[in-house]
Amino acid sequence: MSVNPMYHQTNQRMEEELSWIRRAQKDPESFGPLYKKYHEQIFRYVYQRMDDEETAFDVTSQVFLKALNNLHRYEYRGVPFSSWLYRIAKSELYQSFRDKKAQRTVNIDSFQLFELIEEFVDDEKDENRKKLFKSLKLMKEKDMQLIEMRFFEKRSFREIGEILEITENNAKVKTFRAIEKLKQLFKTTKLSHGDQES
Amino acid sequence: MEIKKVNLDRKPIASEHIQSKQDFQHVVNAFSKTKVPVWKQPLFYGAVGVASLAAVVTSTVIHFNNNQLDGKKITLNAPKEIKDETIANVQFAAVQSVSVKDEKENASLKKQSKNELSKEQIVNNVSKNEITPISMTSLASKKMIEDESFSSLLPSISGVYQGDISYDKLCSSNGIEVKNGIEVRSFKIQYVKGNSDKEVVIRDKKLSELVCNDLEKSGINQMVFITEIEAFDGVKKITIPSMNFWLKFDS
Repeated sequence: MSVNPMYHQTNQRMEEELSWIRRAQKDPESFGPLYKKYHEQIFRYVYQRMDDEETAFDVTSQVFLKALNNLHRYEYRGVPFSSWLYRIAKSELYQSFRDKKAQRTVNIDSFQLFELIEEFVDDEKDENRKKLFKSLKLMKEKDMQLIEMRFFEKRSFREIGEILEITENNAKVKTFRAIEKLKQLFKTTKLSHGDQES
Repeated sequence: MEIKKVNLDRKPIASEHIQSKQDFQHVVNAFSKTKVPVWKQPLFYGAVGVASLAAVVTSTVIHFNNNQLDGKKITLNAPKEIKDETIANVQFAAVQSVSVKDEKENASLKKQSKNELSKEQIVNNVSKNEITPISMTSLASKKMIEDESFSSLLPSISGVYQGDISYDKLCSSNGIEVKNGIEVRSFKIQYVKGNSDKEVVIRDKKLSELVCNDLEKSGINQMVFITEIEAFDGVKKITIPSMNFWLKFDS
């Protein structure tokens, strides 16, 4: 599986980023380069998990506002700044679901679906697709986010670990278990008449 | 959290569109509005609280110290209110304080040169440590002397109540005398003998031969304190104010 290369950065880039952070901690106007660099990533992360584009932009703005408010508390731990932003984004996202501003949605494209079905069955029949759709809806949030990050967003286990504040190995194990759960749901899920028609 | 919807092949959003929606100034403006003023921050109240507490503690300590000083001033400025016993005690306390603290230093001075010691040297030596209580006592004493009822109780040796006295006057006189037929029965004398202070209680109004011999042998100018003077006024036993002398051999 190919992995999203944006997350991985050279030491030089990390140091440059750190100098931006230090400046922004003193002067909020200096947060500009960080905003510019990460706005799209954070927006895509948010939009991937909801249905409404405008709400996704609002939530993204909230993420950066919260980041700016809490920037004085940020401590560099040798990981990209984005992992800290993703954690804020996750928190803001769930807040928007709780506030019913947005609906929890799983967005998947055909190729990703094909890759996922391959994990369970050999053929990609329409029936299997529908079964997978239904199984995804039955997944628990903590398992769903692992599948989303690994299969739909192509994130490395290292990045998943840093976003969820767990080790890389733990991220690997948890993702494997999430896939196993999805597989079980897929096997046990039966399509009703209504599901087959939709 | 329940997953409400699964979308397949949703229309992707172009990077250009996302970038066009970037509005950093909006975020900065919102940040300026949401920024909590300093006086609303918990840290501010913490700092103010600590400062207030420090101010209260400081003022309390200063107030307490002032009260203590005021107490001292009353002692100095209103000697008439002080009873004889109090004066005697203050004087004795001062004397004790000086004699104990300076025991070592006096002894070392004495070792240096027995005859070269001058009054000034010893005064300087004393003043380093406990000059204040002595000054208080002497100030109070002077005023007390002006008081007739008090002066009638003043003891003296060869007509000297305090200050310089020669060895002859101290030892060859009739001892401690008080007006109005008051008869001294006993007293305590403190002086330096060798490397230490000596304290002798004498059941007489005259200094004993033993004490006079000690003083003569030491041969140095020194302070002699006569305290706890007990006398009989014909009816009852009374306590007489203490005395202190500069015993001078070279005068």
